[in-house]
Amino acid sequence: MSTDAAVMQFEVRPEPGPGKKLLPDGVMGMVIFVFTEVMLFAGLISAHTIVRSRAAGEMWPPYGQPRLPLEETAINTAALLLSAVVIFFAQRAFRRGVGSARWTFLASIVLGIFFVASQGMEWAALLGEGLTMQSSAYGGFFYLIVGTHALHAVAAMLGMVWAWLRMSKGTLTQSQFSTVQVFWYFVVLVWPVLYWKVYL
Amino acid sequence: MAEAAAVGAHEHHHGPQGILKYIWSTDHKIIAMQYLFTGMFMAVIGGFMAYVFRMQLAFPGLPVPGYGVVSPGEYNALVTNHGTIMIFWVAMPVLIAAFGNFLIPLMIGADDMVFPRINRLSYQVFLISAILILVSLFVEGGGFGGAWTAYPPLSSVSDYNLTKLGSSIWLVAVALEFVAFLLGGINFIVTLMNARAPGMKAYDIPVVVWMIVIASILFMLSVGPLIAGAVMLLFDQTLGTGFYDPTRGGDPILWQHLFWFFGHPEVYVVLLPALGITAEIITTFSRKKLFGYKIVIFTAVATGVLSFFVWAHHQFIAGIDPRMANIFTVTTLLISVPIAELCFVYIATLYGGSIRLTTPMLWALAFIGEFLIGGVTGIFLGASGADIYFHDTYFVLAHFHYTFFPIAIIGTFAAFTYWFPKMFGKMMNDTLGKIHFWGTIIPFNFIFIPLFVLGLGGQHRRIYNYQNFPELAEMQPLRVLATGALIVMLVFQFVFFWNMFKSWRSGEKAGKNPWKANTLEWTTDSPPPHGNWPADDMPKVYRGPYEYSVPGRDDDYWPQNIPG
Amino acid sequence: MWVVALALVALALLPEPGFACPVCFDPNDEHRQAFLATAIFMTVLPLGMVGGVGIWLRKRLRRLDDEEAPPEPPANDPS
Repeated sequence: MSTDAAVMQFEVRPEPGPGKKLLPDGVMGMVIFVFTEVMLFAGLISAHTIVRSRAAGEMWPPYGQPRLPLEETAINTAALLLSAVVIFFAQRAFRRGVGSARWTFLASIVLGIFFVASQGMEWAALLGEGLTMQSSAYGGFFYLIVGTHALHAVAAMLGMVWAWLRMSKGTLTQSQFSTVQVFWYFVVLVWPVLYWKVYL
Repeated sequence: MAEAAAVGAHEHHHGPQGILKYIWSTDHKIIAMQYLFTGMFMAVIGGFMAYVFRMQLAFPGLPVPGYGVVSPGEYNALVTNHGTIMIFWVAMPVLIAAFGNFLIPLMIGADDMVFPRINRLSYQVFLISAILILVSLFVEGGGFGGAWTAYPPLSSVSDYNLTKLGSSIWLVAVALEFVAFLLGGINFIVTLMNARAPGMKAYDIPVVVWMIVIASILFMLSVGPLIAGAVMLLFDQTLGTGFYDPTRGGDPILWQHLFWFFGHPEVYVVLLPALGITAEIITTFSRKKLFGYKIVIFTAVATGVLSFFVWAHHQFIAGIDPRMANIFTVTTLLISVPIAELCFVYIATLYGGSIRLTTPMLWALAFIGEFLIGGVTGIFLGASGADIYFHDTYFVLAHFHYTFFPIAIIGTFAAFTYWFPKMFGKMMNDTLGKIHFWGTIIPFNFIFIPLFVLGLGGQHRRIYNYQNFPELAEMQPLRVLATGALIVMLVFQFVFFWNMFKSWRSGEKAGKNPWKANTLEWTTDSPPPHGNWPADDMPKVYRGPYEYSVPGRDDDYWPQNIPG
Repeated sequence: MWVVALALVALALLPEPGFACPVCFDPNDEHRQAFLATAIFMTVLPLGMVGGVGIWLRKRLRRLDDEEAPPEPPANDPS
């Protein structure tokens, strides 16, 4: 290797400026976490698909098991999707510094709480009708998948209430809001898939 | 960045003081030490388990010195927990968590991780999981004995495994350990993306950092289905659900589907950091630029992608469609291509270099040589036809020990001896290091080559006593040879511990850069202070990490942070 | 690349099921298909997610670079 050729390999670099961030730390971390969560639900749905396929030709839900309430849950689903739309507008208002962002955000939280509460009532009704985790693989998967989602929804609610309190005090940053928002989008958007696979 | 660093350093100084500094710290270096020493402690336990069950195999029924007579149930628990501990509590915490925590911020010129408190939480969750797995050995019925892969129905029905409590605690411990690495993995990825020193572009990042982060991404993407499966298994054990019970509509094969979706990428999760460590050491001690830096990175990414396509080869005889097995045979053989490529790249790096055979370099070279044997024997197992014969024999066992031992033990010793001066500010004794090296490598081959032969002879795994199989009993001398070699190897580990403590107490002082290496961690003090560099003097990066022996320079190395 | 694809397809389609093969004739074909479908689903999903975000981040990086250096004349990329 001649000296000239070797030296030519090294571009002379200008004095480096400050590093750039493609996304705020919190949002980036939450996106990666959401990937893991998506895979968790992918595993649950795959398991459900495989077990359900074993029962091909037989009844699903199995004999003697209650049918899931499609219509009530459709209303819940609508409320949940609406909540995601509302939080989108809340974020836009918050970025522009509009005072009404607080109330838009609160509306989104209330819709989320409505979803969690009515899912809880649905569970109580189903338990009364004899659908339990032990009663069949059908019941087991229902409570496992919907319960995992409910756990995420409750966690998201806690995060959103925390963000709302900080927003009221004026200490919430844009990136904190976006972090919570990303998680809520995940909880909302995974639900229609679960509704399709588990209920329909 | 500079302001942010200053603020960060300012906050750090308000951390806890005194002894609390070491158990409640958010400093990435202290968390790395916590992971490292917890991992070492667990390795000692895992090694002791190997000693006990190897003694039982060599001298069945006789009391084992230091343990006593091994009952069949205890034997199963020892084998299971040896595997679990060595993979999840030794390989992962040491290679990824300890060296990832120590190296990533130092090598990319950051003052700490992006989320220091999540980092601390990660270790605390890990510590709880380590305590739980140890507790599970002593509960009523003993530790879980259903093999580290925990296939149902043996793992899900307590009437079969007879360890009702042990198997549930084992499962919870493994799940918690995943949570710990999840938190750590998020930290690694975000830190690499957002906290690099000014001027550090994608292709200026040292290979080991790339490898640890790619491994973290693989882990994050593959662990979800296993967590789902583990929750289902736990419910089967404790709540009486029937997810894996075919009589109640469940499916036992489903567990293998979910477990190996994680289980095979996991091999590459631990392999990639070890390959990265080797790359750093080989370039430093052959005083040569890494051959094909970009090729190494792209190859690692390709390995990661392919690792999602191979996992069903663990189910070749579990009842999957043979046409599906065909495809997985092809992908399994394909994944040896990128790994072989990396080995060639390392050999090409060595070619024509001025090689210094220091202790870390010996470990790195041994890693390549020994791992090659593991890789080559994997070809037989990856072919779905040959696997029908080899499945569940000692051939499989020897194969994956020839991959995992280089990764988890040789790779760790390479990294530990290489970065010891940076971690503790003292040089390790090279003579003792070499005695330890040869005392580990030679017995290692004497342990596992006999096991290949035993496996070819048809010896199946997880058997308490082979004396009851007439055609296997006559191979007893090979078993005694393997056990003897294991004991020699374990004895030589005392040399390592002696060397470590002696060097730590009274070793020769290491300067900032004892190996004359280029990467950023060698530009700060040894051991690095809080915040790694003075807050007003954070490093900037002007070139790639492997500019050794550049013609026209007086020094044969050119640190990344020196302009011009 | 297409050679590899062709080889994979050939390997998947050409083998004749063996008569002694216990799993070649699953009476419940839907169950066998479910394993295959979920295997493909779980494999493609993570790669798709990471690939998608990788491409998006790359685009974002380009956009940030463009914003940073506006005086640079539009040299060769009018499309």
